[in-house]
Amino acid sequence: MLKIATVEKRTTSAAACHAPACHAPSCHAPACHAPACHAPACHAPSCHAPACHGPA
Amino acid sequence: MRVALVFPPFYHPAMYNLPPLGLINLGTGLKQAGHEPHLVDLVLAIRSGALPVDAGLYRAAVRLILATEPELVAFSAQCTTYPAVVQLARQLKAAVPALKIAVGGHNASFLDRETLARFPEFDAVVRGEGEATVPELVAAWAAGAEPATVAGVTWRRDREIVVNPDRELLADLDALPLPDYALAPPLAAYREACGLPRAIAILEAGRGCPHRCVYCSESVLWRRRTRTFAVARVVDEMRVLRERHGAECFLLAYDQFTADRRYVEAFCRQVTAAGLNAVPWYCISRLDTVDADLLAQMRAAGCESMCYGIDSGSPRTLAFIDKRIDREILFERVRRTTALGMVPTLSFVIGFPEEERADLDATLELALWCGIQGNVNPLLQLPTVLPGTELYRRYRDRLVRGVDTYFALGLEFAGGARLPEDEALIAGAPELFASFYNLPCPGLPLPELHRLAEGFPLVVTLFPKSFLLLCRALGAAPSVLFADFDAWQQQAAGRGPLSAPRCFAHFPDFARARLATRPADGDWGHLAEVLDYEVHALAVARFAKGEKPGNIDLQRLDEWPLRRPANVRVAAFRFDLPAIVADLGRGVAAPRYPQTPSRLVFRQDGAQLEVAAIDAFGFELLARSDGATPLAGLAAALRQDHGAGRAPAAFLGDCRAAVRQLAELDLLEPGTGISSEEGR
Repeated sequence: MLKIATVEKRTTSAAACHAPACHAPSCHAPACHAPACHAPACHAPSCHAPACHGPA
Repeated sequence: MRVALVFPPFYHPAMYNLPPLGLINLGTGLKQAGHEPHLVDLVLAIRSGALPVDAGLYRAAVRLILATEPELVAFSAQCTTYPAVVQLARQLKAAVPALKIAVGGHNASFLDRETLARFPEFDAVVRGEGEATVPELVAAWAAGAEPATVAGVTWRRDREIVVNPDRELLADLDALPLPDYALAPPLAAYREACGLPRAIAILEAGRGCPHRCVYCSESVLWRRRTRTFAVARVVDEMRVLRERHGAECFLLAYDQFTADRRYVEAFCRQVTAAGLNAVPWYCISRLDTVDADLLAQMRAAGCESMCYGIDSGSPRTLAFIDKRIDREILFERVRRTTALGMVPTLSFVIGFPEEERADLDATLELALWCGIQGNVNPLLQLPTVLPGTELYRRYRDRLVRGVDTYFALGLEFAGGARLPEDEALIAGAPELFASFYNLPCPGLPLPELHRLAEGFPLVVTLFPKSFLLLCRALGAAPSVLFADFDAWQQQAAGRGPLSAPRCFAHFPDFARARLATRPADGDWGHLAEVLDYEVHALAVARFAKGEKPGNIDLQRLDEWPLRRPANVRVAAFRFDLPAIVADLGRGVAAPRYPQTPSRLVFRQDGAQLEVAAIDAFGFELLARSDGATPLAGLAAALRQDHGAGRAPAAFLGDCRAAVRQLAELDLLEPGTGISSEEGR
C-alpha cells in the first residue's frame, strides 16, 4: 500500500461577502460595496466560481 | 392614499441589490389598511437600464416616482443614500408642492430633528420600526389630520418641529403579515439585472442586538433588545419564497441568529423537515455562540457561509470597541467552519481614532493567522462614524474628508465621481452625512489605511502562510511589508491597486527578493518552500474540475498509458512541509526546521483543494505518469529505486496495486489516446 496522508484541505470557492445592501430592517449591511472583495462576481453568496481568487 | 415607497438610487459595479424587504413590509401593511402602495426601486431601475447613470439621474428618478401619481413619497434611506434622498425630495417638492414626503431608516431615525431643520422638503421622519408607525401616519394624512398622536414620528407643524414620543417596539413580530412580494419585481428580475447566479431573497429571523460595540447603530436602533420570528414562520416564509417566487438562496438578516442555540437547532430541523435544506443560506454569527456540533447542523440544513465580526487583533482596540475575542476560539471556529465547506466572512476594522500602528499590525497579523486556518473571506474596513453610535457621540467633531469607506460608495453618478450637488450637500453638513467622512488615525494616514483595506485581504486569501513567515523572517510589521509589496507590484505592473492576478503574479518574486536580503544564518530556509507550497495550491486551483477524471479500466491496466489529471500536481520539498503546515495551523511560526524531505500531491476538486503527503514510490509513480508511458514502462523505470530485490513480475504487481490505489483517489486517469468512453 502506498502511504498517503492528508496535509490540508481548503475550500477554495469564493466567499460570500458580508450581507449586501439588503435593507431588511435588521440588516446592518455595510458591505458588499466591498473593495475588499476582488474576485469577479463573488459578491454573491451564490458565487461558486472555484478559486476565482486564483490565477486563472 | 397612493404611497410611493422609494428605495433610493445607488450603484457600485462590485455590489448587487435585492428586493428591499423593509419597504415591502411597509407596503404589505399599507395594502392591508386599504391604501395603494407602489414600490419604486431605483437601484433596480439603474441595474436594469431604466435609470441612466449620469448627471440627469435625479431628474429621471423623479419622473419615475411621479409616474406612480403619489400623494405621499416615503423613502427608506441609509447613510450612503442620504444625499440622494435629499436631492430627490427637493426636486419632488419643487415639482409637486402639495406632495407629502417622509423618510425613515437609521440616519433619519437618529437625525430626525436635524433633518427636518435643515431640509424643509421633508414633512416627517419615521423613527425606528416602521410597520406600525407608517400606516398610522398615512391614515392621519389621508384624513387631512396632523400626525400629532402617531408615536415614532417627528414632523413639521408650520415652522415648528414636533418630536412625538417613541413608539414601543412590536411585542410580537409574528403578528406582522408575511411580506407581500407581489409588491416587488420578481426575484429573478434582480438576479438578471445584477448578473447573479441565483435568485436571492432576504429572510428576517429577528431584530436587534444586546451588545454595545461603539461603531454599531443597529443595536441602538433596536434599543439593545432582541426579538425573533417564530421558527415555523421563518421556515414557512422560506417555503413561500422558494415555491412561489423562485428563491434560490436566502440571506438571514439577524445579527443574533446564533445567539440562542435552541432557536438555531429548531430552525435547522424544520428547514430539513420541509425539504428546504437544499437551498443555500447565509447568516450572521458570533464565534462564542457556535460550536462544531451546531456548525454541522447548520451546514446540513443548507448554510453556505456566515459572517463573524472579529474587528481587531489588538486587546487595546477591542477594549475601545467594547468587545472580546478569544484567539483560540476564533481559530478553532474558523477551522471547523471551513472544514465543513463553509467560507466564513471575517470582518475586521482598522483605523479607530485611538489606534497606534502596533494595534493595526496586530489586526493584520490576526487576519493572516485566520487565513492560515482555512479559506476565509477577510473583510477589512475603515471605521465609519454612524449617527446614533458611541463613536459618533465621541468623535463627530473630529470628522475629516479623506477616503471613501464602504458606507460612502454608491453615489458615483458622474463618470465615476459624485455629482457636484451631492458633494456640496455632504461638505455642508458633516453631522448629517458622517459616513462620507473619516476619523484621523494616529497609527497610519488615511490613504495608507485605505490601501491596506483594499489590498491586504488578498494576501490573507492567497499567501497567508508565506506573508506571515516573511514578516517574521525580516522582522517587519505586516503593514510595513504590505506597503513594500504594494510599491513592488506597482513597479512591476504599473500604477494601480493590488488585484488578485497582480498578487498572484508578483508576490512570489517579491518574497524571494526580500528573502535574499536576509543574512545567511540558517534561519527561515523553509520559507521559500512554504511559498512554493502556496503557489502550487493556487496554481492547481485553476484546473478545478466538476467531473470525475476518466475511469481506468482496471482489467486492462497494463495496456494503457497513465497520466495525472490536470487538477493534480505533485511537488517535492527539502523540508517537512506537512510538519510546517501543521505548526502554522497551531499558531507556531518557527524560524528553523531540519531538512527532512517531503513529497506532496495537490488536488483540486470543484471548490475543494486537498494537499496530501505521499511516499517516494507513489510520488515517482505520479510524477512519471505523463500520459505516454504504460504501466510496464513505469515499473521498469521505478524498479531500481523502489523495487530493488523484487522480481520484475512481483514489482509490476506492486505498481499495479499502487495505480489502483491512486486511481481510486482520482489521482490518475487514462492517458493520451484513450477516450473517456473507452476508459469507462
